[in-house]
Amino acid sequence: MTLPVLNGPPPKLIQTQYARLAVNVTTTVVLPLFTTLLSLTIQTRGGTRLIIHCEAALNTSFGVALDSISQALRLDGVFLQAMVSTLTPQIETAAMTLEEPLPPAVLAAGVHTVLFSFAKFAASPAVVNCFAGTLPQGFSANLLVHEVVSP
Amino acid sequence: MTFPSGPIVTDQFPKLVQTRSARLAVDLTSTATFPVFSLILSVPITTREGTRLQVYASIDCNCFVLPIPIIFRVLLDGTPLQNWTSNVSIVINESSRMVLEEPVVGAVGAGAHTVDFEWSRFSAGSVPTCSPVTFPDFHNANLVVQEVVSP
Repeated sequence: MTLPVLNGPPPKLIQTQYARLAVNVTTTVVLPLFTTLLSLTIQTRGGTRLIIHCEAALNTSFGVALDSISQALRLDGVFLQAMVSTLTPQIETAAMTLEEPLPPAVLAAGVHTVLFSFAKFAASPAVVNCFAGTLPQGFSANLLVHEVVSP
Repeated sequence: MTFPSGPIVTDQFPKLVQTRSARLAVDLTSTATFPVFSLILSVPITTREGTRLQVYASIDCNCFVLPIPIIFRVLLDGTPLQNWTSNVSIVINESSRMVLEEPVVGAVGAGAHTVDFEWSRFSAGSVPTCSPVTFPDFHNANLVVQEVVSP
């Protein structure tokens, strides 16, 4: 058998870690408190960065208020960035992709934890739901982390 | 079905060559009205021959005064690739995201390129804002560009 020549560029994707919500998660907590949607750990080599993709489809149990749901990413407990969903009974999806840390900074070698969480902006009777366990047709939460080497 | 023995032929798998990204670090508003766009983020990238670009653009924002549709677009070297629209409210913030690979067939060509992420309000009378400094729990804008070798 003739094998092809391995002449491509060196791979820069070191590894991928992924977490998918498979149970129902609800919350009534209000910022600055938060409830964990997903968490994953990744053991990195020195000098790399993380490309983080996250998305969540959420709703609330009742009512439409002029309020919002914050969905935040943390790395080793440190707040990175957050996105928003409307507080409504209709399911709403929010997603973002970011690189952490921004160049020229790089991550130190070792075990790191990426935390994807959510909370209400203000106190209200509404309960925020992600029924990914019982209603996966409409609800979801995913967290995908690539460790990459990049100039 | 039978499979040939031998080493894994890595040339037949997508390869990540490099990642470039930008993150909005200031509060940004725009009064550009369609068909005029204003810049949110820009990423320069120098590519090798035979590669493509995977672009991830994400933003969470809201409007002052009136809820209006906001048109977003991604450009490569000044040429619009794709547009998408979100109905952006006053108080309730909106999340919007686009993922694409460019070009769909062929390669982007070796050399220096620029990927831009822009927005435009559909009508005057309201002002979209993305304020990651003032509203870190809700607002973000990210542009991640990955150069890949893909069959």
